[in-house]
Amino acid sequence: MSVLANNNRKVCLRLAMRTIRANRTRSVFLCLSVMLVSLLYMAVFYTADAVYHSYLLQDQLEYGSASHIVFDWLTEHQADRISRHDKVKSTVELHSIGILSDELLEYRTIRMAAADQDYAESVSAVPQEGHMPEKEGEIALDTMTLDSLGIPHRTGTAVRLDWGDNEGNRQTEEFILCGWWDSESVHTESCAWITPAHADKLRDRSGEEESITLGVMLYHPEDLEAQAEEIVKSLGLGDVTYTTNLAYNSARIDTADQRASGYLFTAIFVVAGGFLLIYNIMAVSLEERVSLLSSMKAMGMTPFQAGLFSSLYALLLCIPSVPSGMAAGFVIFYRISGDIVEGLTGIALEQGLVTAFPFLAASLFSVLTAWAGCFFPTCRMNGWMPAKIREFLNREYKGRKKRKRGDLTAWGMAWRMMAVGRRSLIASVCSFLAAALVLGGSYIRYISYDSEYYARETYVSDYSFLDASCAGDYQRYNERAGNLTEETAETIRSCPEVAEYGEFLTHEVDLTADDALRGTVVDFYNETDGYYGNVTRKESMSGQPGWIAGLEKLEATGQYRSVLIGADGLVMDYVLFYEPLDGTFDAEKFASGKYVLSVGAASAEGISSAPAGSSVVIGGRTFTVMAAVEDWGLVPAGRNSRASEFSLNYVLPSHALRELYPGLNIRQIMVNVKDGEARQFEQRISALDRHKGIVTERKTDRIREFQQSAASSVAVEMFTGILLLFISILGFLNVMMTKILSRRKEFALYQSLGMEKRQIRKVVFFEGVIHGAICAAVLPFAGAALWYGMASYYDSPFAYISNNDWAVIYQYSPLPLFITACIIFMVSVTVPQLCLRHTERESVVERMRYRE
Amino acid sequence: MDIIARIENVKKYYGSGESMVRALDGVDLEIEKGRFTMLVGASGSGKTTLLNLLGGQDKPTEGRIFVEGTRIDTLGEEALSVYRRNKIGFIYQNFNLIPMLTVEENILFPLELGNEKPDRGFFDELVGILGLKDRLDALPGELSGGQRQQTAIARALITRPSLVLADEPTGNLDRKSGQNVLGLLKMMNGKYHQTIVMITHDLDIAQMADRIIRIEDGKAEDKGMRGKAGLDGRMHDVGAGK
Repeated sequence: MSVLANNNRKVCLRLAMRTIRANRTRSVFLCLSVMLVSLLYMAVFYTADAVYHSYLLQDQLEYGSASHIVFDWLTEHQADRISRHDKVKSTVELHSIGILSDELLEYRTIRMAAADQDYAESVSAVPQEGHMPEKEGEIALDTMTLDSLGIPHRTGTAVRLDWGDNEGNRQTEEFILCGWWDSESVHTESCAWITPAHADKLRDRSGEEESITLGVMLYHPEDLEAQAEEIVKSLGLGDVTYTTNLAYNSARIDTADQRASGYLFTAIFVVAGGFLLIYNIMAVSLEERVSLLSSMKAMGMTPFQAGLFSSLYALLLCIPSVPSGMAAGFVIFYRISGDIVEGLTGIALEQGLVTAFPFLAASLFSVLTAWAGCFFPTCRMNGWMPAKIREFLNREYKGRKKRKRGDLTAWGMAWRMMAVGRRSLIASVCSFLAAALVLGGSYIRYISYDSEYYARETYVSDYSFLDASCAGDYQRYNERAGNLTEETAETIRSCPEVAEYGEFLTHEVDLTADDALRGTVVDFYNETDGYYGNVTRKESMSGQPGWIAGLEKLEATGQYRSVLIGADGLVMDYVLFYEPLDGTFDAEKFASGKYVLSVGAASAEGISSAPAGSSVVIGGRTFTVMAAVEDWGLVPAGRNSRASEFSLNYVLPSHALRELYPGLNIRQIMVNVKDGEARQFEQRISALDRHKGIVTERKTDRIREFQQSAASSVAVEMFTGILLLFISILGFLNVMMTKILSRRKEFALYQSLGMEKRQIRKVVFFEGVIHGAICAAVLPFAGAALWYGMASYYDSPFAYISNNDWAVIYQYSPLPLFITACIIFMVSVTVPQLCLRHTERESVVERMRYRE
Repeated sequence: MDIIARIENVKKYYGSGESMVRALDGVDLEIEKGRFTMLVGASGSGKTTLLNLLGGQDKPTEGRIFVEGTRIDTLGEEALSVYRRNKIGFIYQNFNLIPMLTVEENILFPLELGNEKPDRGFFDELVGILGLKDRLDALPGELSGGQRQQTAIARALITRPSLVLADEPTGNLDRKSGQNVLGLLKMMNGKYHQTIVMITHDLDIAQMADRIIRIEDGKAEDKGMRGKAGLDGRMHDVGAGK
């Protein structure tokens, strides 16, 4: 006989289809299980993909352009040559004539350029209010620029702008504001759009050539640096400058990958839970499947055909289940992934950002899990001889070798039945363990986020009102903006709901240090600090040349820039957030206006600012330094000038600062509101908004964002844990129901021998309790694993990946495990009783005839 | 007479140590082609084990088994599957039909496994003889015990196997159905010269055979042709058949 005999595959397909139809209930259960598993996979992979792209989008936003490479300072000819390069797919052009040169914009680069819709779209600079300039004299700007310059958000506003042409020659021009857009606070570059005709006119007047910025999209956006170099070299454009998109930077991609991979880790539990559920359902009907296998192998089915039959069975179940599960998962997470991702990264995920990865990964994993769950219960038997399979089927209950003699009790009978159906029980136990670990871990992570701690460390006041010119990360405070007027301050201060009030004023001046102060500061920064290795503190600042220049100016001339901070009321809580580095604070004395607080840093050897007891001359008046306080860095909001990159700052009462420099505007107001009166306060301040030049920050908003971020960071894991628990319960239900329903003949036999229904129910009750106890027994182990595992997790850097992870105080809670245990016992006690009552509807004789 | 199968010093042991069961303990046997051979013996004597070994459903612990000149005890599972499919027709006491396939599909199942086209003429003849013409679309659950066994017989014969092995095929049937089945087997033997090896512990049924082999304590005794049981239930050497 030929070993190479033809093995028919079609018969395996037919058998698989008939098997599915022969037991519709089990097939439906299996389809639902596969669907659930597919839904879970879709959720995990879609969210991981969304997180990955969101972090890259964040990088792209930081970069400020959607283009892969941006070439700068090009001529028309150069731009044209690059556009025609065979690596270049498409380009957008910015024809700029100069840069806004107002020193209030020193942290940002605002290019004055001919309006170009394509380029504007590539850098998210399309007006959202008003329109692009259409007539000569019109200009469109972003809101951050408007706020920095103190220009109201109102079309038709006259705007006077200083700008420098491409050779640096300064010019002034007047425009009419025709539109504006909200730019991201991380953008350090923006555009000031004027009409092309106006741009030509200004360029002709300045006599300078326009410079072209070219945004390039490549066919294959990998290794952008190398491609940019190649383009430049191949075209002989050696002196051309370019930047590459951060979103394609390999280090950034690795970081995004790392952050997304945390979600993929959850997929391991999905694999385990999904496999166990399907395996469990298959294991319950093992005898039937093995009997079929025995018959088929006796007829001459080869091991390959037997394996193919199991595999096709699984694949046929996947056909209706996987697409519907994936569709359900996609629908759910398309809606909520955006919220999750925005909570994590602060970036609104682009709706419509759907890639192939989640679909491919989810379908592959779903099919593999379903296949494994169907294949493995009988896979080892595929190669067995038919006689061995029959031996397995006919195996008798052997029981323990040493048997106790004595009365048989209900408990004893129940205990003996534990030998039957061990596989499916073990599968249930493993499934509950997986669910407990995921759900328990995610719950602990969630409750460990401490919003009170977060609020305590970041916000002293319930409300903070900022002058819009200092609301952004790259905005220099405009002392002349004056959006927080005295009237506004009085309106806020006089609200009856206000419990505490405080103001920040700031003013930059140049001061002269005496020899003592000069020596103190210079010595401090020339010290070697172990924190930085073997370099001095000054050397550690080598990446900030402006700071170095300021220190050296102090050393050489004694002159330095100082930011004078006027502080009153509530804001003193911020000022004195940390204990003074030197001296002690006396509120009454400080209020007299004769004292100042110096701001700096400290080491074991000394401090970096004027010490307590020393004197400082400000505006012709001599003040005594009461204490030196730590530079807390949080407030006031916004940046000071570049000249103050190195500065020695002083805090004095607002009235004292106003006396020295009359007409100073308020930079920031801080308010605490009486308990329970926030709503009324909100009504009173409802008219204060950004378009009036005031930005309102609420501690409650920040806490809510923090809580949202916390929820987002655990959302997928918790959802997975809940679904795994649901899967475990389904599997356990299946075990408990089958245990009773498949033994109706046995129970009928007991009754026929004289056992009362009450006695049978007692046995079944004890069986349920034992099952429940075995499944629940795994929960303390899960609890112990979580106890040690989560503590280790919070000791590792993995716990501190997203922005708010620092605000965590580890809290352990076994609540999910407790709930799981309750559900297990409820199911194990009630379900068998209900099934038993169901079987008792038939008579003893009818049940005795039942073929199991 | 041609020898179709030869068993040489075959032993089959189960378990080990004190609990070892010696199902077969050195059996030497030859099966003649075209003959109806009966295996008789008490319960647990090793009859089913011997049949399983002949049918490639199990492997001996020791010894050699040849069927049509091919040694089968050394074949791998893949090759054994093909052997079972092509060379053996097995009839079980509890029928072992595939519950989700119709009568026709059950009968043709071994051919389908090997992707062979059925001989429709032979199929029609078989089902005609076995009285299954009107039940070809029925599922096993819709058949009586006798009809199920008839289906199993048809399945066993459809591949025109070298050996038909029947393990107490009438054990689960009533007397009339059992007699019907036995008659069919005898007819298959007569009409198609099918070599049949059958197990029974019913001495009356054993009378049908051309040859009786008695299995006792794991060893085989050839009781010659057409045996006759004594009143004590033991088989006696009855010499050549009538």
